Amino acid sequence: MSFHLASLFVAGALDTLTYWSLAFLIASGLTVVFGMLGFLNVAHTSFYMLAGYIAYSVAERTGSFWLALLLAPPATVILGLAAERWLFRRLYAAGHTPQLLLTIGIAYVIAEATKMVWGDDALTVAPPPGLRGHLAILGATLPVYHLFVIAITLVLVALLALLIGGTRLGMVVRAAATHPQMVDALGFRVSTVHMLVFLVGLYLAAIAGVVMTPMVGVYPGMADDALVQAFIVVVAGGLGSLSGAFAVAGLLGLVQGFGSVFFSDYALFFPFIVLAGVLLFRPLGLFGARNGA
Amino acid sequence: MTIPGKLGPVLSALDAERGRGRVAETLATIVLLAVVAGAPWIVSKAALNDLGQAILFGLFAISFNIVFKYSGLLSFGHAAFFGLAAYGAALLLQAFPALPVPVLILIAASGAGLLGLLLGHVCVRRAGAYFSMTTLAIGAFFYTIAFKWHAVTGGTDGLGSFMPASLMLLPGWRLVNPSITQTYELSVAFLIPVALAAWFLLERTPFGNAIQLVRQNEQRAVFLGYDAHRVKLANYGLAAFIAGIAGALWAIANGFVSTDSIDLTLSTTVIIMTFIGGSQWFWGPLLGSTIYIFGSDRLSAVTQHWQLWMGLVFILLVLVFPRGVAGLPGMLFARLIGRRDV
Repeated sequence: MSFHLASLFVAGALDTLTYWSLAFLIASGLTVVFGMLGFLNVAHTSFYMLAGYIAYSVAERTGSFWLALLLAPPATVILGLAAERWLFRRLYAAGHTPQLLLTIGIAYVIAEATKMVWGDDALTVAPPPGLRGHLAILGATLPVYHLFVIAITLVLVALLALLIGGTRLGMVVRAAATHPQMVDALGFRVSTVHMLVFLVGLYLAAIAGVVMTPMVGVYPGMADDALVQAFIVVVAGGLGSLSGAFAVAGLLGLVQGFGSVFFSDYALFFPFIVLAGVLLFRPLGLFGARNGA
Repeated sequence: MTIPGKLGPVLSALDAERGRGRVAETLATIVLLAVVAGAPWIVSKAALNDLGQAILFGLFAISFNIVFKYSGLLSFGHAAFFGLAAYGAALLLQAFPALPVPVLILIAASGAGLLGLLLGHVCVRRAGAYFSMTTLAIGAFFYTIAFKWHAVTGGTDGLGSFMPASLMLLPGWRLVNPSITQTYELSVAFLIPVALAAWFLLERTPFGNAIQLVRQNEQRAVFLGYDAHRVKLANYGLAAFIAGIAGALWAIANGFVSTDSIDLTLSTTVIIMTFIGGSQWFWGPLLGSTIYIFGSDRLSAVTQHWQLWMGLVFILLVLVFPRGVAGLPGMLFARLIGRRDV
């Protein structure tokens, strides 16, 4: 019995970490861009979906998942940056409504364009050869691929923390988040800093899209599904708070990872329960500051 | 026009500002409603079918815009109320086939209105992006219920065959196997009085004045003794109620309800419809839904991927004509007489 429990625990822990990783990769860009620019990008998860589809095509053509992981995120980021440069930037000062409307339109266009190119069916690729197996730990069989997803997220988050916390560039970014005018007066181009933040956020979401492809596959509704989850992470974490997003993504992972073991029928409701639970005790979100809304 | 009570001086200044376009607005409203009411004699059967969908979505879009225009809140989950009432009406008809239509709609819409009051307690407190994100989560929650609760909602298969052979309009007045024209007239019979009543309530009564004041200057409203939260909540409940009427009518007119009537796509479609038409005019959303439905119909005849073009047109509209189609005459007029501040 105890052996069985241990295996359940290990499987649940792995699911928790996997879910945590993906939820954070997707939501981090959304919340940081909102925190710094006050820009709510409804099309954020559309780029995540686009990355998944591009990865599918690359992996299909070349037979290499690694090449897809290397190429699809930059391709997505370039498209995203083009949208930032020519569309989003016009509306940074325009208030939430035009921003929401514009990004709804873009999400709409991306959704239809992906259907046009890749069709309505779910598509999936096989995990790369080295990551197809399973590990047996304490009686639980764990897909190696999930461990890889967790590892790549850890590496990216560590790099990000180092970049933001340990470099001169990171210092400018942090300063631009709170004192954009001052940073501008010191001779840094704030719009470039914003673009950089945008780029990193999109890159993380794109990585999530790519690593999803061998797990769940890509399908037309994935942007909407991810958007709901990402909004929940952002709202419950506190609008604009990266640490809040990290914490809530973990909470969601925990509920999803262990809840699914016992109440798998209700797994779809877990994110809403987490959201309601968090907002009940902290209406502004876990790390919510007054600058939101 | 005289404004009752203590809001007089505050709102008459706003009123004077709005007075300029008022005659044109009233005329446009009369023309629009006359076209809607007279459509069965004007347009073809096929077009009438489209127009029937358009006015039901139009009523829904008007209810969305009641929250946006009068409370400044952009809802991302408005389909929850539409869908709840649509499922409610379908299930009620299944259980009580002899229920008169007005009673049926009143029950379903009241359910949606009550839900609005309940949810509003949580989400109306915060404005801006926070409101949009919370309502998106709420909308997704209700979609998930409709999706998962297969025994009641039929899941993705939806509910069909709930329409009785003869629909009880009023005791003693039955509609057997309604034609497109009859269904259309039934929709119009609800749309015009309901929307006009809502317009009157919001534009011509103390209740409406309070709502507009809170939108214009919340602090001032609070100093005048209004509970801003309750005022916004009341407006949200009203909008949910009207969305419910649209949803219940939609179920009756189509004889079919599925997760399409409660999903995120519907919530965003209603946003797109509203802003195509123009959110600043009360009837703009109706105009927008008509353009959307007919536009998608024409586009889908040409290309399978009409949503792509619809999306591109919408992006252009947001960037170039943020006031929508209803704002065009005002913009052109302003251009003509050389004013830049409109």
